Amino acid sequence: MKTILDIEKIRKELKIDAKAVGIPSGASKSFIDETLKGMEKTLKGKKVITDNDLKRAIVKELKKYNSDLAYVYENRDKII
Amino acid sequence: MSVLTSLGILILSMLIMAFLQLSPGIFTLISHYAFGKFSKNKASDLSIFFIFGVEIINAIIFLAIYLIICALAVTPFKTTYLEIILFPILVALIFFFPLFYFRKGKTTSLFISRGLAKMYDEKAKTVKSRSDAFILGVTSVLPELFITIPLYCVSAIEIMKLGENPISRAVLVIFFVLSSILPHLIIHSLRHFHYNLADILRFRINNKTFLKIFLGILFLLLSILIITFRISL
Repeated sequence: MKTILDIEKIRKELKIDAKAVGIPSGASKSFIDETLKGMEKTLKGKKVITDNDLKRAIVKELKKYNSDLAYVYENRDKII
Repeated sequence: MSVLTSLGILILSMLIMAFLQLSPGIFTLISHYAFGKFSKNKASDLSIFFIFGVEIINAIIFLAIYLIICALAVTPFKTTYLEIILFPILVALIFFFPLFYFRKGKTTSLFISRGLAKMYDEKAKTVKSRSDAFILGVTSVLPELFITIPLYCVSAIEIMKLGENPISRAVLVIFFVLSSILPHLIIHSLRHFHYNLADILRFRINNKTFLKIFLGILFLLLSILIITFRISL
């Protein structure tokens, strides 16, 4: 499945998840930026990026900063 | 013995209602998105209106069934006939829970189609007002009606049998209807004790196997009570 990267949409989703998990907005802003930079680095050079590639790259980066947020991002579409 | 059987059937039905996962799952989502987007007060407000929606629809359906059964009781129709019709459904549900209720894998994905699950997720994400939350609460119980309606029927029959006193019947009806929002209230209070979605998700995933077997056993016990003390007599 082809995915057009919408960084702002991902940033917005991560901000919502971070606030809901209880991370102060100042702290979350900085590591969300770092996560997105890391994700772009991981996916750089790939011609086709699937939803799973994208998710995996974000979760891998998020795990460095906050395990709860990474867990929520990884599993939130598997709740129901 | 009859009173004990009636109480046993009612308690088992209430336990099953309290352990159903779809509506609490959607509630977890709406609560997560609301706490992520809005102030604590607004998020709390939306969560309460969702619970209100669940409670209202459950109460309406249960009372409708209860009134139909009360009306049938004054006709030559015997409630035993209804229990005979419901019995195979209860037996089928014994197997449904361990085999099909949860999808395979390390998730808490339920039996509903992925399209429907995605729709609930999208709706939970876009809830902005009390009416949105209320409507989502109402619709969250609909896919599980094939489980709840047989439970409502057997419970309504038992409440009717438990006595002539309208006050004691009303108390039982209120208790029964409230049992369905118990998990929502627990999840809502957990949020106030700073438990987040990750904690709730981990708990649900870790206890998934126990839950599906437990629900199957509750249906088994319910079926045994009904075949032994209601249909055989």
